[in-house]
Amino acid sequence: MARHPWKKLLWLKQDYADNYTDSSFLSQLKKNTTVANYSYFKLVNDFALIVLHSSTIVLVSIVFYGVYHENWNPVIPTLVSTSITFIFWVVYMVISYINHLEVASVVGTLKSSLLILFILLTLSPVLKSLTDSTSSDSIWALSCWICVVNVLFNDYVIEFSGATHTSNLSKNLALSNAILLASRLYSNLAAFSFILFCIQVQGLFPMFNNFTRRCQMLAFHRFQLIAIVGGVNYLVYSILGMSALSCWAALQGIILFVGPSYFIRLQKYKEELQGPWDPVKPRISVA
Amino acid sequence: MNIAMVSDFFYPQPGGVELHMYHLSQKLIDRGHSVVVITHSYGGRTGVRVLTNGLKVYYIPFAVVMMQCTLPAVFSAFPILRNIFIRENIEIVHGHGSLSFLCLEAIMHAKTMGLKTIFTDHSLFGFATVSSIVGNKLLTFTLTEIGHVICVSHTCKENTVLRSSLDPNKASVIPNAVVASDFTPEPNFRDENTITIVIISRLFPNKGADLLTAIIPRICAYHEKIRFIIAGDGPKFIDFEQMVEKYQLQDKVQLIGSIKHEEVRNVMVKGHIYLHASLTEAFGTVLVEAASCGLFVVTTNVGGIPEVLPNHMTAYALPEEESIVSALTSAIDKISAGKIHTSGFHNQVKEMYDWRDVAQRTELVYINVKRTTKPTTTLERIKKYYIHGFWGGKLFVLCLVVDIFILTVLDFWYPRDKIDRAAKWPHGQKYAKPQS
Repeated sequence: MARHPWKKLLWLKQDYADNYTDSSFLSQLKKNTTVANYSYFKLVNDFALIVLHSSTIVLVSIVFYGVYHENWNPVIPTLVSTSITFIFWVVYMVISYINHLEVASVVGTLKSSLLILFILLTLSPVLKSLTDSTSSDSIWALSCWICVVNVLFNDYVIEFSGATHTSNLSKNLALSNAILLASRLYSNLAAFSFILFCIQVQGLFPMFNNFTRRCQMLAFHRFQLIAIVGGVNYLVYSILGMSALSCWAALQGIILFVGPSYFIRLQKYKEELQGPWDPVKPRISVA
Repeated sequence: MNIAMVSDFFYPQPGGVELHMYHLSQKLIDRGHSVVVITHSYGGRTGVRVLTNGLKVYYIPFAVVMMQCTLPAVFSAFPILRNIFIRENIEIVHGHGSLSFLCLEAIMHAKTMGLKTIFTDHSLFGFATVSSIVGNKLLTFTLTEIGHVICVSHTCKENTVLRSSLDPNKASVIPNAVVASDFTPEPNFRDENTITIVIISRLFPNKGADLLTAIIPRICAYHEKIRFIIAGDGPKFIDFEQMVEKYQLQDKVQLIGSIKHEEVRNVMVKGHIYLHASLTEAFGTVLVEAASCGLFVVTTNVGGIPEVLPNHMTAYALPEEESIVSALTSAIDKISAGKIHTSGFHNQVKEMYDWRDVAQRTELVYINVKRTTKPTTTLERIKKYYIHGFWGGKLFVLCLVVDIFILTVLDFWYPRDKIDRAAKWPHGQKYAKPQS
């Protein structure tokens, strides 16, 4: 009598050994179902966000260098960044109004900004003397590492569809870096202005940039990108000299043009396995 | 044979792995083997305890990190495990549960000591998250030299083979079972004026809690005779309470919170239909328990679930709201028309799933492993580990060499012949039940 064909059932006593492996084994396995074909230029656009983010970090470091080493007036950078932030805020309100987007009330925004200002003002003497017992070299090293981790773990928000939740890790790192560096400065006013500058450059500006990309204002986004990156490159050149600028520009070039092609080459190693063991996504019809 | 079952999960904690180990050990003892269970201490429950039929349990004092798992230290349990293995004259080390570090550690050390090793996998894992990548690497390492692997379902076997790059012929499928006599139907407990749907599940997102809260109001609106009994607790409990409030279902939906495993049957027999909306499941023992109690089962067809019960006991649905609603309403219609006869389910399930059968098949695995495993030299072992990846291979070899070194030191400091041998529980042939 011919053997019954094997069935993928547990309740049926079958005439096969327990370790029998049928030819249908792994037939439900799917590979690489989510592979996307990346275009090089789209990726260059995305990688430009890394350049933008690292430029804001370098901007903060340069301004610190200027205040700490070159005796800049600490209030001037903050005044400049505050006025730009104010202009951007007006732009944000206008665009939101045109596109019928929900925004926080003017009074509420004003209130919370004032609150943060006063807290910073109150705390700046404490922050200024925070690391008095630590040597400067330790602070520079720590700040360097925080910046590197910040670049690596920033949430670059490339796609806006789906989950709107973004990670706050890089913002927290930026704030810690600001407090660390501010604690090295000579006066309370300098510490206060520097932290405020950092919050505007690394906290508010990325949010505004994300907002413009979300509203599909790509030209305006490119303008911000070129202005920030160009401005920072000019500052690097004028303060640290030509050799620093060439190193920095080479790094930017590598990120911008070599990074995408490396990313595309890595795609061939992609091996994503999916099968009946994966938790399924429930589908619930929205009432 | 002298067998050691090792896992972080054991009584007093409830769960599928725990029950599996307990019942398998009991039936193996009935078959004349000597079984000890090794687990970590639970609160004050430290030391050696003896359960029914002389099942000896070693609760070894280890710090629990999270989810009842011990610290993932690679070598820390070696001294005490070696001591127990020698004391109990263990030949076979049988680990359970790929999330249990104690089990993974025991398998590695047992291999270094030259014992036979078996591993049972009880759950499914994906490949996409960082934690599953690390876990799969760890499993690959542990199963490199395993004698044999047992999986609770065919889907589970596919998963385990993929995760640990194992030869599929080294993996057997032996399902869980139920103690059918603990899950007998009792039609008199049903309220025949209603159609009662029972849900017994921990209320977690991966158990389909969101699906359940979406469909329950719709089913209640579909037929006025419908009642729900929901047992189980979890982070989604509050969603169920809100659903009851929002749709005014207080007299239709009964939330009874978490219940003990021995109370499950008394809840189940009140129902006509058992509803299961899990999003991933390796086996689904609860489905077999429900069918054994004479309930018609409506379930999502995920993971190993389609393998578990024959078609006349179940209605399958996709993990989608519409699909579950239509499967459930057609089951309700059939039941109220008297077209489904569940009275035969109990006896059929009794024939399908029995712990004695599980023990017999597991014993066969033990015998095969004893027969086929040949002693390997250290060099051969190193070769086997080295091929697993550029960095992984080297790390694995390093762990292996350190393990062998530790064994040498232990053999020197605590010589084998200085370790007391434990007296075995007196299992005369006269106590052993005759087996089919």
